[in-house]
Amino acid sequence: MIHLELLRYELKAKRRSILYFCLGLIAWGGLITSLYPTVSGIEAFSDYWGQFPDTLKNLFGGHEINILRAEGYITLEYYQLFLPLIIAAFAFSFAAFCVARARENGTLEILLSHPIERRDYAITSFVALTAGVALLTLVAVGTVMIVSFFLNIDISYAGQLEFAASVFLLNLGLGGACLFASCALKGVGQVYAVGVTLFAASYLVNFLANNWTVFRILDHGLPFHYYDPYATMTSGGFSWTGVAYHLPVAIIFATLSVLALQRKDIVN
Amino acid sequence: MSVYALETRGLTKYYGRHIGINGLDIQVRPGEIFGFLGPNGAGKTTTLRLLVGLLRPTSGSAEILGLDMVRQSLDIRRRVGYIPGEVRLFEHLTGEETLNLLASFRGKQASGMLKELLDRFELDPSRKVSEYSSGNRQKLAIIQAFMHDPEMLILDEPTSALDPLIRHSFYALCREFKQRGRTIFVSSHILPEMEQVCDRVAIIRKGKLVAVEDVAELARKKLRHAEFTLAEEPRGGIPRFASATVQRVNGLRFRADIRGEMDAFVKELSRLPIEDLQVNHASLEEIFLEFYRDEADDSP
Repeated sequence: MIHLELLRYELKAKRRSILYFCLGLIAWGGLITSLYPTVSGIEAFSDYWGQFPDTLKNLFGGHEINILRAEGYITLEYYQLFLPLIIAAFAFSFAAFCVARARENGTLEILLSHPIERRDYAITSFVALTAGVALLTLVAVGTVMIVSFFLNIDISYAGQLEFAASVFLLNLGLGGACLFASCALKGVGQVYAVGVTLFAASYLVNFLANNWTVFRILDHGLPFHYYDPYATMTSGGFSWTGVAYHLPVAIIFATLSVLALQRKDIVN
Repeated sequence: MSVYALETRGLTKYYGRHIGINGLDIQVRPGEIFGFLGPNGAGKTTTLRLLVGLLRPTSGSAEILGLDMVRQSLDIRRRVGYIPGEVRLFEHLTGEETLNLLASFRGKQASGMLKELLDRFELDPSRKVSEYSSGNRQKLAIIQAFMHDPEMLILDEPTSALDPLIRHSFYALCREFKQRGRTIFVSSHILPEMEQVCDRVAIIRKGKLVAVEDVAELARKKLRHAEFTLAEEPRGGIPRFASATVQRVNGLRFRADIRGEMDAFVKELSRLPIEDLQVNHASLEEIFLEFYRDEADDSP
């Protein structure tokens, strides 16, 4: 099912991209976390956030966020939008690379002319995508945990790990959708369009649903409904609802990727 | 099960409304080198991609080495080697890494001939593919197709980027494979090469098979040109032949395009006072152009 040599090739091919993403996450996560001890002592910062209307606060993680708490500050500055956006960008690019770009640059033709099942190719690509997203998630959350440890920031490490699982699953689902697009559609541009549209639409609907109940039904079907970093880190319980949504979504898209690739004509 | 190494029956592929190939019926015998000729856009690459399972046929079927092209595609790909029309490889890998990756799909049978082929084509596998010239990329594509000693080779214009020396070496390799009973299905538009290496050729145009000919038979049947000089001006101007079309070149020198048997032409010519005679065989290229000229004349 999983072809190890192909898995190694796909990860090796994107090693520079993975490295640069990791360096960026370490730099940004380290900077944001190291600013917390200073920012948390500035009352004006809290007052400034307090002046925001709840509607607007919901755009950045929810009106119940306490930004004087480390988890609240990191949610507002990093985890709510910036981190999932960065990891999603990687997932979109990786999913596009595995099939759509390989088809465009002709390498898919030579790979699939060899005795490998298309099903195995798609599954291996999904596993490589999973490994890449997992690595970036661990680097991002690990950076926050390590910097918090050295600066004696009062943060729940268990909450950080629960959040890591949450952001990983969110991006695995989004990446899975893009892998399906990569297998089913014609070009790399279309794959990015699907990913960006899904991300933006889901985030927007979630924001609207947090303010107006009419959007809640729609929101329940989209990934950002099940992504709440502050609650995940502070409520003291693993979000199984998120797992119950994101994991089947990822598996469904992986299955659809297999079906789409099996029906696809390989032309450059 | 088919007695042929490759047999297609009404093989058809449409891309939306556009036709790729239409009702293709080809039989390739085991152990022969079969040339597949046609201009750009005729459907050669579509046919070859169908055979290795990269495309799904709209209708029709094919058997390769007795295996169904669609249902047993994986088994077919285990037993064939394929060179794509446009060789585009993994830029960030070295030649060796590329060959290892591709060999990993084949398991133990993967690279029995690898060292011999690397020596033969003088390819340095330690360099990155991005540093290879187009000729070296083509060599790498050839090596990956032949290295597992496949029972059949499906080659899409395999010599397009090779210099004449390597091209010669490549065709020598093809002949060796043929001598060992391997079957080769090769597309090209370089006709003199096909004439030298192929046992039979098929000609395809606008997705349809125009002709399948034995190369040796074609050489016997094919158009010949004769130029002859007469000792004196014939009565009635340019002589008329049933076996040839004659035109005056200059003075008493004439050119005859001979169709059919040479014997009939020689007999007709012997009635004239001949001073000089030169006979040239038309190349396959001229035959090929003839096919297309005829087809073009037929079209509305």
